[in-house]
Amino acid sequence: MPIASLGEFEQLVLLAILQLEDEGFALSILRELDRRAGRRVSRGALYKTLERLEEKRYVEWEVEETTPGRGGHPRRRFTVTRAGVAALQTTRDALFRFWKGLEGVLGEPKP
Amino acid sequence: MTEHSRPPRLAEWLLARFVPPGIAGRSILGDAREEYLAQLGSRPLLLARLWYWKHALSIIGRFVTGSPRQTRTTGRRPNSLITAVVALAYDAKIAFRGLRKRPGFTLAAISTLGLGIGANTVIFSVVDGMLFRPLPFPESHRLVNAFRVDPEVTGRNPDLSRLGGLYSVPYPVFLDWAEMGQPFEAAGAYRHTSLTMTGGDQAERYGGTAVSWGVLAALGARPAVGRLFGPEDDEVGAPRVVVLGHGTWLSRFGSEPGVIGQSISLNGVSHEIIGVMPRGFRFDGSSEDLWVTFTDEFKSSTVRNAGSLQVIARLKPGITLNRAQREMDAVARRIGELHPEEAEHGIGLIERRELVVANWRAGLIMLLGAVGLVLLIACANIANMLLVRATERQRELGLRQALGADRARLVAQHMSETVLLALIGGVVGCAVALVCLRPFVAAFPGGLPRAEEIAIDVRMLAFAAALALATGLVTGILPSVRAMRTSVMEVLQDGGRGSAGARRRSRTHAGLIVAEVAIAFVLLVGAGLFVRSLQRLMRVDTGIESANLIVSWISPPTRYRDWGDTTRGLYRDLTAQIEALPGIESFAFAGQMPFVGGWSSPPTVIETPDEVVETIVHRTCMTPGYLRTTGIPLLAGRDFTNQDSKDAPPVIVVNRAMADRFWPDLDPIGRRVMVPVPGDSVWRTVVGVAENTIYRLDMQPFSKYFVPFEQIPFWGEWLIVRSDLGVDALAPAIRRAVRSVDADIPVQVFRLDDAIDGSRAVEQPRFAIFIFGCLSSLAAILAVLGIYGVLSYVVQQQYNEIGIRMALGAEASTVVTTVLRRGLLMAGVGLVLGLGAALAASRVVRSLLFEVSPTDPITLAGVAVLILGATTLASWIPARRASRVDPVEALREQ
Repeated sequence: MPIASLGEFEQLVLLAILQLEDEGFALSILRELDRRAGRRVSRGALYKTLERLEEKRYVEWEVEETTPGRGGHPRRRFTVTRAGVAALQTTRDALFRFWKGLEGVLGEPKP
Repeated sequence: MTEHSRPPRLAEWLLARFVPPGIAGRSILGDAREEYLAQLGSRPLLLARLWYWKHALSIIGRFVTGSPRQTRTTGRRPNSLITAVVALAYDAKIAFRGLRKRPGFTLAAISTLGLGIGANTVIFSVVDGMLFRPLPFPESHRLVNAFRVDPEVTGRNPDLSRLGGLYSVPYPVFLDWAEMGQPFEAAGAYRHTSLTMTGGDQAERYGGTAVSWGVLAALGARPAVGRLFGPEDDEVGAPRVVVLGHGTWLSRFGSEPGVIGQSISLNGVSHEIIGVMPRGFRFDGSSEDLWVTFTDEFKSSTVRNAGSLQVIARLKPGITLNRAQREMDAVARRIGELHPEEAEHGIGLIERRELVVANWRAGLIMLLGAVGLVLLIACANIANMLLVRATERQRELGLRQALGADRARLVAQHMSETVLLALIGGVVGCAVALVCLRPFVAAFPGGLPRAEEIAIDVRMLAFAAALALATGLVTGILPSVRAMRTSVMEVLQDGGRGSAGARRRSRTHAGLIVAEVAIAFVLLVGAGLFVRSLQRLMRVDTGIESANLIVSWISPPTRYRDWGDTTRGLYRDLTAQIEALPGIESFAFAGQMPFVGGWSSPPTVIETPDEVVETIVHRTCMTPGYLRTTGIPLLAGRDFTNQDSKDAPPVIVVNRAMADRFWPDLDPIGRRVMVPVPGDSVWRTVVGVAENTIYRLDMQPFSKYFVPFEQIPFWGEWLIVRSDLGVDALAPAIRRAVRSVDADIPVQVFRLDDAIDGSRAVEQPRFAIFIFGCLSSLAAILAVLGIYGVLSYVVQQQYNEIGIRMALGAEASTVVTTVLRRGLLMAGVGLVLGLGAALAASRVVRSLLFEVSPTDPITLAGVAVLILGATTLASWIPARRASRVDPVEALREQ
């Protein structure tokens, strides 16, 4: 399997969806990104990234029943595919190899 | 669900156009709605709606500007116009970021463009208000002014637009014109007058216009209240009536409609108020507080050779000015048959608007042209800066092209930055114009005609906007196209260095610089010519020793005006009083005075060796001592003396121009002239010849003669005093002296030098030169900066090349020469082009110059030297830098 190339923002989005478990709605992802990574992301950027991840088959979505206040528009719940998880793993492993042994320079990671 | 819980419809509709089709897109719309509701809960409606717009646009931006591949996945292309608009908004955002990253460049560019656009907008507003807008009267293009024309000044083929040789009209002559003037729908005569209103608390002085009824009819004025004048008001013996100006009605009568029918006393005569002029009505100046008809005495006058009236007429619909002029020529001939002594007089028609602004047209158009050229230079400089930047970005652009980016999109993105710059510049320009317009208009010496019609309005803003857009496009197009035309391979291979692309680019730079130099040359030549013209104007020999001359204007009441012994008596009394003043070297009274007031030119009968001719010659009466006091040299014969009294033999003094005109190569002394005054048909003998004087700095001396006041007591409105006491010391004394004769005589005292300098004949050119000088200096500075910038860039680009050459043994001086040569070549080519343009434009400026040829070699050469000098300096700095290149370092960079 070729090394999955995941951009930093793509990683954050995938991780956010995983963290949210069953709550992977677009707006929840936005809030999660803000809460955990301190990233205020434009809607456009998020939707575009989700679209790209979907094309790469790293995420998929299903339609939830609509809730009031959405003007009757559907709601998508995103989940990370197995390929997505695999890509995250690959990326993490590759990064870990680089991070390792640099504690002297970078210090211990903060939780 | 309330109405407001729906997001802004347009934004939602737009969003729906751009999100992917199907559930994915609809879910995005749903998210947006959900969030909007949440926003509504926490902030005011307006902010929530703004929030929705912001986020909708952010999403749209992402989905519009994606790559072609992504467009494919979304499956459809939205409406192309909307795409274009949204893409533009997106580009603008990117451009804005780009500009923010380079504050130095951005600030320089915006302030340059802002000043340029602002200056253009100000000048445009002035030109628009004065030249292009119709006068504020209905169908104002049909309004004309009619004048008596003097053949000596205007020649047989008068160029009336220069406004020389046009004379006021006597009332009986006006009546003939109005009666015989077929082309006129309505015609009227008017003159300004001053009226003292008495009654109530105190006397108040008002500026008034005395008119025949046709004036307001021709102008198409409608009363605010009451009625305006009718034909019956012009009958001799008609009751005296007055129409109030709107301002007077407001300030003196509190806008009370009941004033109609009331009587007021004007100059001691009771007038019935019959109407009020409409608000904002302005016709010919400030003397429009009150409108009255002519007095019976004035209407009964039969004097046909001295007039004081202006005539305005409305042409019948469909009659052209040319046709009207031909018909009035016929009228003039008929009048000449009825009154042979008027055979020489013509009638000249001038379109009213022309009359108001004619003196300004050429100057204003030129100012507009100059300020436009400065903006063009500024554009060229900014384009050059952008070219440099385009080169820096060439790699990026080349790559994006190679990866399949749409060329048109790339050009658009590239240009959006410039257009954005220009639009911001436009906003700054508008602000500059808003702040500067009023002070600029007010700064015009003597005031601008129609100044009150020059306004900040939609036309001006539209102009500024259009100019900003055009500026952006003009500035941006060249760098953008240049950047796109470079082949990808070229860029990737050598980064654009030393290749054909670089040479092409430097040709573009050079082309812009050449254009800048050419434009700057033209403007500087213009400024130089104006300066030379003003120098000539200042050196003009007026024929008068104006230093230490104090001039007083005195206006005795009508009861002295019998043109006989009463008038003589008054002036004898005045003479006695003035004589008694201490510190006066000499003094005299005269009917006219150069540089102040007008002149009169009645027909005069002259005996020449071959025939007796009757023609128009300028004339003034004077008391003995006039020539001595003014310092006008006496060339032959004698001046008047006290012996030239009422009963002495009739005498006359002529000026040199008159002597040359009627008795060329002959001795004028002893020749005979007859002055047509009622009861004075006697031959007068020429006893002296005086040197010429001029009446205005831009006019040639004309023929003129003097008659002794005692023999023909025309009006002696001017008291001329030579004294070194100064005007401040003398003015009260003169006023007291005049008042001691009659307290009702108004007096104005001033220095003749002030009048000469202050006459607009000097101040206008001076002001034009000031503005033109500023503009052309700015142009020159910009052009020189441009040369400096380009050469610096070239040197930087050829850093390696220069390094190699120096490593191979090139002398520093050779390097300097190479760079210098390059700068001077650009300047040289620019100068040649500029010279061509200056010669081509010479016809335009000729009319604005005084005794200077538009191809004045001194000016042309001087400007060329100036530009070459500045160029050398601007080139020398980068050249020096080039000669200090360290070969080792240059090669290492490679």
